Amino acid sequence: MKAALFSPCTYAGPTASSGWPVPTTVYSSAVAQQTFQTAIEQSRLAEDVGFDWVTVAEHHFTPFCITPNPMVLAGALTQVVKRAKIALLGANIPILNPVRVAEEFAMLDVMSGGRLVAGMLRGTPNEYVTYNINPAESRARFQEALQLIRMAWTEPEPFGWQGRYWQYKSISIWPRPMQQPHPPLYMSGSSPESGEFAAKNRIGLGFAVTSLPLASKASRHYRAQAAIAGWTPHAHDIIYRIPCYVAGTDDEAMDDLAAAAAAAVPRSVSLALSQGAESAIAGAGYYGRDEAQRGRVAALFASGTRERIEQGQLLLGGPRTVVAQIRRIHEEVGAGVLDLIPALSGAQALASIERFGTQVLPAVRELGT
Amino acid sequence: MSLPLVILPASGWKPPPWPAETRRSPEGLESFDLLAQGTAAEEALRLAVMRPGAVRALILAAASPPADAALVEHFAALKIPTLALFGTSDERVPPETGRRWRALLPGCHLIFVYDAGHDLAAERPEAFLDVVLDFLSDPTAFLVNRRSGALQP
Repeated sequence: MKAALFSPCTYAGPTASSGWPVPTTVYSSAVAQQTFQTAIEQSRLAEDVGFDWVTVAEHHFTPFCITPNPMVLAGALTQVVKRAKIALLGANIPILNPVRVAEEFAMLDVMSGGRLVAGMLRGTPNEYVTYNINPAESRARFQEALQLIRMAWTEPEPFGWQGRYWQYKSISIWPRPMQQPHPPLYMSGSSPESGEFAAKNRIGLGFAVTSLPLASKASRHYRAQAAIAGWTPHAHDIIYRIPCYVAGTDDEAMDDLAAAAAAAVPRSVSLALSQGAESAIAGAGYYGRDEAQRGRVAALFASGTRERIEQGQLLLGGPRTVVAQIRRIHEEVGAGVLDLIPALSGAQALASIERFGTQVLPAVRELGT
Repeated sequence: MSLPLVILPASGWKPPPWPAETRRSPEGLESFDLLAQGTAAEEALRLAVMRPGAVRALILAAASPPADAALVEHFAALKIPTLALFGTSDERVPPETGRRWRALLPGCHLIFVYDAGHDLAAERPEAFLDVVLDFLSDPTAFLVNRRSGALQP
């Protein structure tokens, strides 16, 4: 089992809390600056205590995640984190310029000395509002963008692209990716369509904002489809993202979490759109064949602490308890990379990262190897 | 400037519907554009070499490079603007073939037609027509987008 530390870069101060997009009527530059410093500090510590990856991701117009271009933070991390891989999970490629994505990923791969992990995501439904893209086209745009990015990384001659969604006269990106033929790819695999596409194209799978039953079902589907395509995914081809807090003991962990929840500053962490907009996105076919995807996010935040642990939505406890929770995720989902979101902040987050690296990780290392 | 388009199809290939005049033969034409599909590429190069100054621009669709090195050398010396199209899903003439064309004709424009197989003109006719007409509207200025990007006046 490999460990990744995710820096969601949740803005650390109070904000207005009215849906998405979130207004900036309450906003402090000093807090935003401190949020990035914290991400860098946590990533550095994670590497020091043995984490394998550090992770950044893309969201827009929200204090939930203030890295609308995660490439920028990843660029800073390449100079601070010297050994661990730099994972972008990911870029929302259907709403971006794929050539620019290929260029930025290639830069990061070179700047990190070949340590880039390239996650290609469709993005959460709200992101189709962000750059005014029709969500009905999200899968088709995703597939075209991915093929174009791969072509930009691997084709040595300048080429033009006559696509459905993108047209270019001549592309020849500099620099080239350091990893050959290109950095390892991951995509989100919650829906059956995504699992099939990933399996067919030999792309790794990532689960986030999920539950053990959902991820387990999707993982079985992915493996079955990969078998049809003639290959067997390794445990490291499956990433499971989950909030985590490791304390000295189980009781301490529960108490710290409860105290933090009680003291939390009011801030909007929802990416939910209005009901009408959400229905329009669902009606556009965004969720694909698996309608159960709808409302997953709400369900996650609605359940209590013990339910979240039971559902595989939270790692919480003393080191030994968390080891057992991880074994269960590994057994049920077959995941070989845990992407950990610090569940608490400040000194508690740092202490948890250190405990995870020194007391949990050594005990789960051998899983899936 | 619009010139007649001479289409040299490989056997079994049906040219796509064309919005302007097309010919199957250059006979009687002083100046023309040339489109060759698949194995007809060699014939197109030979025609251009035989009639220097007559071919303004050449379009190659899913074309395998000809084996005749001297012919290619003669054609390259004519410096005729050339557009080489390949379908990203073509299994008969895979898109990597474009590299060989670029090695033979360093100035040629290589275009990948996304999600098209060997008969790219039939599989994505709008995409095919769009890029070919764009090229023919001014073959020497192909790289420059001359369409308006304004959404509203």
